Formats: sequence, structure tokens, C-alpha cells
Amino acid sequence: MNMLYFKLPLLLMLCSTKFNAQEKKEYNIPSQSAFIKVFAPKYTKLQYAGGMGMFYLGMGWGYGKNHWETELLSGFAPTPANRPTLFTVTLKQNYRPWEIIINKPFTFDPLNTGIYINAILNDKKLFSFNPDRFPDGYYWHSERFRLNIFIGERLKYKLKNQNCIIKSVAFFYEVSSCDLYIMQSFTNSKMSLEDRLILSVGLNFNFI
Amino acid sequence: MTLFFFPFLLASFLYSCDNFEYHPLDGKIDIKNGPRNPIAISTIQKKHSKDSLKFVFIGDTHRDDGDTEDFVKHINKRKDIDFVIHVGDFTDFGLKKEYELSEKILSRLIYPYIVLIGNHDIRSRGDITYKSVYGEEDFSFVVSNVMFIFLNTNMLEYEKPVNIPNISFLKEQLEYINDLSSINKEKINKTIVIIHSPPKGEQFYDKKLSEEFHETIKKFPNLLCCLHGHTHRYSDVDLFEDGIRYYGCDNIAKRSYLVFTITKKGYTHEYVIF
Repeated sequence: MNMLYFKLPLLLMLCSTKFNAQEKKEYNIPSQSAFIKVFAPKYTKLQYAGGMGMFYLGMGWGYGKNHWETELLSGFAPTPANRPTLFTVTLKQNYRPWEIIINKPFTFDPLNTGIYINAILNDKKLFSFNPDRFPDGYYWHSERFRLNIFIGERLKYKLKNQNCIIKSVAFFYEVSSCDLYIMQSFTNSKMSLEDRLILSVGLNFNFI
Repeated sequence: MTLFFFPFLLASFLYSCDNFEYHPLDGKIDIKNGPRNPIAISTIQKKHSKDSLKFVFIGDTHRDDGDTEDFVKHINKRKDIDFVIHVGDFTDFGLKKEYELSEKILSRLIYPYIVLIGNHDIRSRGDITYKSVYGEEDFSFVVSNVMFIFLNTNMLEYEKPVNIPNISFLKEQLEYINDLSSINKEKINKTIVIIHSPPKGEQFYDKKLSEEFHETIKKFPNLLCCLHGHTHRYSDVDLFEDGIRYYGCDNIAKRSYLVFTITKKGYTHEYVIF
């Protein structure tokens, strides 16, 4: 696969610094209590693939002038008949430094990056960390938890009817890799770069 | 001007459609024509008509795909080999992508090859992946009146109670040999046992079970030796001080392999550096 296609988003990120990145205003919800304002999710999302499952849903909170987002996701991954279906939960942290109004009502985030921890909830035969029966340090990795890093971009469309509960919809893609795949880079593995990268796409449904 | 960006983004991920992975542990392995071991065994038995056997013995190729590739290229140049045995630990974490990569490299061998499960290959539910790619964890076959027995001895990988190693399987094989002798004159006159983790190690930790394993395999007709990996170093040891030798192979990073030649009289082995 031509790796130039993966380097393009980084090049676009550098180019986009030439444009005036428009700061998003802090959202004000005057009629709601401070508690709801802080803790109510700011958006919900649906994502496909990405090393967390086949499909997963979640909620997210935006803060810090909406440059930072924390998400809690849950989903499943179907498996072949001889093994249990995986059910997972993910805690995700996003950082998006720029949001560019490209053509009202579209806005574009040239960079969305961050980390996420994914945990498999079922399958008792997987261990979280080196079980007691093994000598110390026998296995350094976890089978149940995966640490991933990702990079991606997002295109948001502001709905015309702002009276709807959903104010805007954002389509995004992410390219990620997990800790074990990254380790392959340091263990003289011939695993190709594209085999170590995971692709996903999804939709954010923003309430504000 | 900004609209210029979006088509490139779209092109970028559309091109890589096959990278939509659900989960590294979802077991969706891209290896067809499995299980592979029975197919290899069938090929070995059909092609082999000589009285003598010559096979290559390697193991612990995890983390050293480059050296494994070089090994494959080296062995493919030899003209005198009947088959190759990989004694396990071909992955580091038991991931499906590691299984795919290892099989991709080994499949370039021009000789049939048999792969046993190692302790690393069991991790991340690799034990399920192993069954669909290679077949049963305990198995045996006969060629040139020599019985090869492969056994999963990675005891530590399983929570108690465990049935590893499967001594019942060994006893069933003994019964099979006895039945075979009574059916026809052609009989098994030599036995070799192949395991990943040797007895008295941290994997095969139960002393009583180690002794029961050794005493059981001694009952096989003319047990020649026991081959193992796991220790990452070549060894030739009379482990139980009764004349039965246990041979361990280097990990592939040491760029060596063992060649065993079995004749009517017995066997010889050779340590080769490539």
C-alpha cells in the first residue's frame, strides 16, 4: 500500500496552520444547572472498527475550549465460532487543536489525536497482568487491556434545524495502533507498517 | 481552498479499506487451508519411501523473522531433507497477525513442515488460533516405521486443574501401537517424542508429572530421544540419567538448527550454523 496516503494527513496538518484556525466559543447553556452543564455528555458517537470492536457506542465530553475530549465507549467484536464474542469498554482521550470553518455549515478538524485504553470485559481465560503462577516479569504485557494511540481528522456539519436535540453531526476517520503492534517495531519483526495500523470511521452526534 | 483537503482524506482511507480491524484478539485469521499439520503429515507419508529419514529441527523463531526468513532460504537450498519440525514459540503474544506472519514465512519452505505449540503461542487465546491453523495440540504420525509423537507440555500456561501434558493421550498411542502390531507385520520400531517445554523446567514444573511423562514415553518401542525448544540454547542432556537423551535447539536468532538422520541402526544428529 502506498504509505503516502497515511503521510498526507500530517502534511495537511502542517499546511492548515497557514489558515486562521477559528477558536470555538465556549458553550453556554443558561437554563441548566451547573452540574448538568459540567457532567452531561456533550455528544454521543458511533464508531466502526479501530481495535475496540466492530461497532461501539459511547458518549463524550468536550472541554478546554473544546480542544480536549474524553469519551467512554462500549462495543462488541464478533469472532469465529470457536471463541467467545468480545465485549469491550474503552476510555478515550482526544486532542483537537484546530477547527476550521471551510464552508458554512461545514467545519473541519485537520488533526484529532490522542490515546485510548480498551478492555475486554469477558473471556475469563485472558489475564489482566502477569498472573501469580508465573515468575515475576515472565509476561510484561496484558491480554485484557490494550493501549492505543491514534491520529485522525473530522468533518462536522451543522444542522439547519438548531431546535433539534442534535445540533451537528461530525464524520471522522482515525488511524491507530496498539501497544503490541508498536512493540513489533522494536523486536526485529517483519510485520509490515500497514499490518500494524488499524483504521476506523465513525459519527459524532453533538448536543451542543 | 480548504475544500481541496477533503478528497485527499477520503482517498486516503478508502484506499486502505482492508485495515478495518475489529480487535487484535478477535481471532479473524487470514490463513486458509487449515489445519496445516495433517496436510504436511500426509505429504510426508506419501512422498517418503526410503528406509532412512532426515529432518530439520528448529524452534523459538519469535522476534526473529529476519533470521527465520534466512533459515528458510538456506534450507531450501539443501537437497537432502525430508521435512522440518518447528517445536513452537513462533509468536511472541499469540496474536493472529503473528500467526499469519510466521506462517507466511514458513510456507516458503519447499519441504513439508510441522509446527508444535509453544508457551507464547497459547497467549491471547492463541490456543484456539493454533487449532484452526495447525490442528490438534497433541498428535502423532508414523513414517518409515518411526513414530513421531508431539505433545503440548506448556503446563504453566493453564490455570489448575490442567490436563497438560496429556498422559492419557500417550497411553492411547501405546494402545494404538499394540493394536497395529497385532493387525499386520509392519511395526513401529522407533519412537521420537517432540515437546516445546522440557521436563524439570519452569513450564513443565510438576516433578511427579515429569517423571510420569518420562516413564510413559520409555514404554514406546525403542524410544530414540526427546526433542524440545523453549530454553533458547542447544543442549544434549541425559535428563533422567537413564540413557534417554533430551535435545534442545537454539532460538533462531543464534542462526543454527539441528539435523537428525534416522537409519535402521539408530540416529545421528548434527548442529548446523547458517
